Amino acid sequence: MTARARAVVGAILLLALTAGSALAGEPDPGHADLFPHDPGDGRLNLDWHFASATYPTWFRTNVTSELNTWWQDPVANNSNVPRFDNGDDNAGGGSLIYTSAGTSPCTGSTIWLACNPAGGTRTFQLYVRSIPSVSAPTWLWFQRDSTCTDVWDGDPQPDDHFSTSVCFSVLRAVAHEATHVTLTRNHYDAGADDETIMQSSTPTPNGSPKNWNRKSFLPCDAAAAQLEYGLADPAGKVADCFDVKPGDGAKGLNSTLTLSTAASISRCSTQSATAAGRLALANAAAYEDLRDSPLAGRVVRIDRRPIGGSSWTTGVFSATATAGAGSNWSRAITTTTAGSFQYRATFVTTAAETAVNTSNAVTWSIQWTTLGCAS
Amino acid sequence: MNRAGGRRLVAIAAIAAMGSGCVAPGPSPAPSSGPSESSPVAIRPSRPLPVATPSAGPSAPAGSPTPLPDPPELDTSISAITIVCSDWASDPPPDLVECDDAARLALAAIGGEDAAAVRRLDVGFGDPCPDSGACLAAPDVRWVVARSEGFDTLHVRVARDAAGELRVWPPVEGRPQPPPSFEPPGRQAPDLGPDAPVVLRDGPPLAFCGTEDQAQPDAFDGPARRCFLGGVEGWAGVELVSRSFSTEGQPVMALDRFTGRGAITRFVRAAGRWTAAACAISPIDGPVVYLLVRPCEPVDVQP
Repeated sequence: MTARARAVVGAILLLALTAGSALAGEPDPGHADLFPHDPGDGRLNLDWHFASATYPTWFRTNVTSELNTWWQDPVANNSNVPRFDNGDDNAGGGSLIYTSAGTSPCTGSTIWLACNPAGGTRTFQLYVRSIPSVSAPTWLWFQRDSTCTDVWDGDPQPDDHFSTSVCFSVLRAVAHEATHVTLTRNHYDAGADDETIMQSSTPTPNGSPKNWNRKSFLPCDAAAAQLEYGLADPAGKVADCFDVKPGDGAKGLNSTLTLSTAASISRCSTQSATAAGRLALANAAAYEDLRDSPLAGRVVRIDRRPIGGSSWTTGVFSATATAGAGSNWSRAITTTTAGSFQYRATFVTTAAETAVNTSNAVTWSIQWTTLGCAS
Repeated sequence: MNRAGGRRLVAIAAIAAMGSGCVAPGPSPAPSSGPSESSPVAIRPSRPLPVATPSAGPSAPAGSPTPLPDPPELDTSISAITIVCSDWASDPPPDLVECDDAARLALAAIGGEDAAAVRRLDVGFGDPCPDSGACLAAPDVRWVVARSEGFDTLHVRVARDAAGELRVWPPVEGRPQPPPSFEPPGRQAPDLGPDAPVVLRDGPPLAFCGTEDQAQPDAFDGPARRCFLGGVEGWAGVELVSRSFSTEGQPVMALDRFTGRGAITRFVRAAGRWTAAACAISPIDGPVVYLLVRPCEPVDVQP
């Protein structure tokens, strides 16, 4: 479980109904497909450019890598949330503005690091404060010199007349604002340090030793993105941040297994009988764009017992689900003996499957016969 | 914890020799006698498990681990328990057993009324050390020390096996462990503004560790933070206020609150509204002193 197991059904409904409530360990509050997206829709590319060609090289390099690559890391962010791609033309789309303004363009505050005045638009603006600067002489972006130490104090670099003492990650700040552009306008202060990059405040290395320089989603950010935009890779990880409400099982998301082939057949024991069906996340409205997502790559375990028998032989066969629509698992069942058997298929979750519960079981029977069969 | 049926949590010689330096890193004390694997025990959280009573020396718990890939839902609310998680100081390796996993599995293994009676879980890394010799912290092994209101103590081992599955051992009785002493500061209701949640406005004041001003980031108030952590470790009610600014420049006020039992609750006022969560706490090296970590549960904030 890494059982942060966190909710979906109740959580999402509750978020929608009680704006004042606080939900920890849940997909980011206020999450929405700020760029409208339905199940099956493709993934948007958001073009962007630097507002000026004069920004420092370290800034351009790091922000380009952050937006074009790291923020959409397929492991941390296995979702179809829009991705950023500047097209190497530095033109069009959203604007990345590096400003030494002492006052936030978004809030008017003099204590600020970055901001985005409006989400859900392709012509977004993402402001990053230039630090150190006259209005924030002690603050420093770590990525400028890959250190939090004031190296521009005459040793080894010339004195820039800024006595920096506190550093931040421009990667995390940009990742945070990029998430405001696409997924939520809210902050998530009820989320733990290792659950989200969307807390109100950007942490320093001292304040969050493990996550201050986070370049991509943490689990509750990913869970929100998956709910709103679906899975990028159905064989990839479902985020470990779906709360457990009654009926959600221990891990938060229910899986559904179906059988699309006949529930009772007769077959020559020298032949095979194929069983098939679908393994997917539950087709529940509260699962939003995750509903009915195929659980590709997951193994369906097939057990067998003689009809009328009381004990199952487990794992006699297995089938691996695919990403397909409709039936996405199948297995040719064979036998070495004639007789009537009942078969049972189940997706049994694993420790590594941190968000998906064991599925229901489906059963079918096969009467294996030798009568009239070619020998 | 459940003492029905003549069962009682008793001191055990082997565990009496617990050395706090043996399980590293983190504050959790651990038995000096390390359990090892033996025979299987099914986990049925609705019924208490038999408690294994280890013999003295580096022997093992009765019973063997049981994989719990699909653990049952718990009857016990995590927010009713104080959970203290040791910090894995470096980046966590992929086989690390998460603190919340260990906590939930330990509660499942304890089960029934015993689990309902648990008031505190200390979750450390690595197996307990033998009486002699050094020991190393292991990310894939957790020891959970569960204590009741009366400090009755159970130890539960949780580990990841070679296949990556989590396994949990039957609980082992330990000697009662009272908390360390704590000298609380004076009780005081901090000024949280007129829209503070009712639980903060109307509740009795707790020992107040201070107000931390983080208008300048990194201005952590070490003494106040150590006071708060000391209260948690001493099972004593404490509060700490921290004022800062959001990435975008809006004022943010946080109140960390521990009533002496249950989870640590962080109330945050940002963008004109209060939110709150009840979480575990992890003491860490460095000026921030502690972090709130998973498991967290929502707290409904009544204005």
